[in-house]
Amino acid sequence: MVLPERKEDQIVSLEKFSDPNFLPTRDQIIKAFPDWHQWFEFCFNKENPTFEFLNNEYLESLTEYFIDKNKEYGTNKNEPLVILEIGAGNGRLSHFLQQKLDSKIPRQTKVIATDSGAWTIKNDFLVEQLNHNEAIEKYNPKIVIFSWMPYQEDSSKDIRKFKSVQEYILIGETDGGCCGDEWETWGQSWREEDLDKTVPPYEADGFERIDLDDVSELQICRCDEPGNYYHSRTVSFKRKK
Amino acid sequence: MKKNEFLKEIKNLEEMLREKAGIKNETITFPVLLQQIFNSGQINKQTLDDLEKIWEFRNRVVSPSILNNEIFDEIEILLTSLINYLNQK
Repeated sequence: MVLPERKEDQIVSLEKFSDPNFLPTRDQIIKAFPDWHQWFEFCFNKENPTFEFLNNEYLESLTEYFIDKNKEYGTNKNEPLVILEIGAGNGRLSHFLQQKLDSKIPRQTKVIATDSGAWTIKNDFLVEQLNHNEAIEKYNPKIVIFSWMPYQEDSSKDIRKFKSVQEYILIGETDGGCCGDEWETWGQSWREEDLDKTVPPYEADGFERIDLDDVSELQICRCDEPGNYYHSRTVSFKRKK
Repeated sequence: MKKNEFLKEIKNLEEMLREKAGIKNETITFPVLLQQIFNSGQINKQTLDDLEKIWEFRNRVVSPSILNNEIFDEIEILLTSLINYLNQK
């Protein structure tokens, strides 16, 4: 007797991944891209590039992290926790994060997606056009998220200047990788000119770094390849009391 | 060399290095990986410098800010020679 294929075993078509409303599971991603060529073509698509390959399990884990934050910062329906995403690109991360937070702690968080618009990435969801300084000044967030900060650029120095910001979360490749500046962002560098520096900039500004390993284990990104997923991470930088 | 070929070769290089360091599934940053291999004496200083150079180029290729497709000849030559060198070790 031939048993019907379970829904979760079916391979999702590649076209489905282009639907901005589709948030795949890790398993669906793993099964849909069996070889490098297809993976590269999808992730490095010029019109619609993928940097962090958002998946359901990662978003669930990130959501739980922010639910704890909500308790920690004592926010409520009258004063929801403001989570500001800067450099939001197509807006998918903020969209799914708000959706999941609303399903678990309705109306207690406000996730806002902003982007300078410098790269003219197509918005799949609402993304307000503001550069990062303008965005933080306007919304006075407690938490800022930046996913895939451009290589050798650092916005974290500006983020830390704003007193409302208690924590910022960076998503992407970390030390020695393709996001941010090795020293200015991550406080680690192999450049000659940085070798005598001992205090990371975030530490000098009163922040401490916490690598969110449990959340990070669920990440998949463009630098990975089918079967091997370990390049991108989620890191919190928290203002010390 | 096309971008996808370059990135595939970089992955092969990275896997070779992880094998040399005896690392399979754990997360390790590239600088730490190189330092481990260098400290174990499996590569010399010149190779370490070359690997740092090729990795920096790789970062530009996969980074959000660099969107062009050009892979320079000198980088292709360096990558090929590094892979050949590591295969012999």
